[in-house]
Amino acid sequence: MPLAAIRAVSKGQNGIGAFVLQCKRLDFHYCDWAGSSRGMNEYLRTHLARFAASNPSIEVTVSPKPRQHPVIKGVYVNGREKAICVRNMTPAEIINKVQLLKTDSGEKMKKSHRAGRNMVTSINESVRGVWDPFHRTGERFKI
Amino acid sequence: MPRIRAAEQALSLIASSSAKPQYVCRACRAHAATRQFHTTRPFAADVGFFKRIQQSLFGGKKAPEQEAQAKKQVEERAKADAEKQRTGQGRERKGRGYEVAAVYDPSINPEYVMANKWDELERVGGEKWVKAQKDQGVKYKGFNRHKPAELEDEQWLKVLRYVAVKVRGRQRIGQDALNANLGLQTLPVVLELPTDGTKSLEKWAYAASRISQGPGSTSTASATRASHTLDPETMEKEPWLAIPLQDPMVKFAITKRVTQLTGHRLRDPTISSARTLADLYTAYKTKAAPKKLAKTAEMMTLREYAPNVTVKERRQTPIHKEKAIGRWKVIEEELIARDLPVTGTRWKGARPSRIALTR
Repeated sequence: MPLAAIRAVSKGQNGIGAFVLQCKRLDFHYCDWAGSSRGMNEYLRTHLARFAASNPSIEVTVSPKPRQHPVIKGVYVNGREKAICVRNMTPAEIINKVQLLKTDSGEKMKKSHRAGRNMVTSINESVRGVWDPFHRTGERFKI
Repeated sequence: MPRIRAAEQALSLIASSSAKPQYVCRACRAHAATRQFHTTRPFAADVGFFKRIQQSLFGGKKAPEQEAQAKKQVEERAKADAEKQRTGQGRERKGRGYEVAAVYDPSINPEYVMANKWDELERVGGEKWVKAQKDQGVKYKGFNRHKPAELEDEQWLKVLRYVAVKVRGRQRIGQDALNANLGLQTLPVVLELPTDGTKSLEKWAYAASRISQGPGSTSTASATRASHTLDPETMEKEPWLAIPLQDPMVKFAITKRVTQLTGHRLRDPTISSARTLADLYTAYKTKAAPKKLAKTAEMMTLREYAPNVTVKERRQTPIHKEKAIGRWKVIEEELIARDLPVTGTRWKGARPSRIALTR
């Protein structure tokens, strides 16, 4: 009996079955001395516990970075990193930035429209298939 | 400058008179010698030239004695060297003792092997070596402790009670408490001492309250309840804390001795605003706010609420990140095998101590 590979019944996609958060780690860097870290230090003292408790799938690391502006760095499942400088920000502004990093996919930012037309992107295969000049013999370039 | 031809130059040299030494007669030369200018004053030699030569060749009258003395000195020196080698202890001219290094001679000790590596050899030179060699005989001992002591509330009470009793004793015999010697005991000794003199302190507090409230009042605690920040329970238990500190000399005497014992120094506004001993106690037992965010109570207890949080006290370098995943030892081994700097010592801002370690 010839061996046959098991056919995939369904393709795994995020959001179908279980949702996997793309952000896997958030690094919080602050300075103990600098004034630009005042809001960040306040956020870490008062808001971080609640955020970390409500997002147990995200690893949170807090470490000082002396003589530097405060930075929040997000590490994503696709291996990319995104960093946001939160210098002189209030805790309320930092909450928004943390939310932004948490919900981000980790993909590089790109334009959603080009030359006035909407650019459609899809992970589904084309119904017509990939174009091939030898697809129909005798009728060149007639698609 | 115009160019001079070689022939012209040669002719001019022959013609010049400087090539020929001028004749000066002997009388003129002697006269010129006496007229030479000298800054040093001429003085006659102690021993004449002939006598000096004679002494150096054949010796003086005291030559046998000098020879005997020199011989004696050489013998004494040899004896001292032998003694030093035997005991391993030497002594300098100023009287400081030192250890004599053992002499290893391959001809005497067949077990002696010459080192062909730097490992385990004594390194001479460098900043650390110089510090180690420095005379450590007299060490500076400051008025304060090197590091402030960490005390519990009960221990603070003990220290304050001890100091207050001492100050009260000095006051009673009419001494100036601020400049008087309040004891030489160190903090561990003070903490172990039995709690004596509480009664006298209570009397002091009671008398002070009677003066301030008038002759009708009787309770010490009720009299001073309004003037301090302590809870009533502690005041009931330790009524002597109500001792008033209106006299600045008493206040300074207490704070000075407490600072000497514990290393804790109160701010001037805190000292000036303290009205009773209870206020000083409150100020001393209050812990200073931590300077580092990682040391605050909120950050220290964060992991209890959220186990996914890691708080680091120090800056995390790429080496820390590599260590966390167990790759650093591999990287380190490979760098050393290739004779490459391990911690970026080729960077021009690298610390010299690091460079010395890696080389």
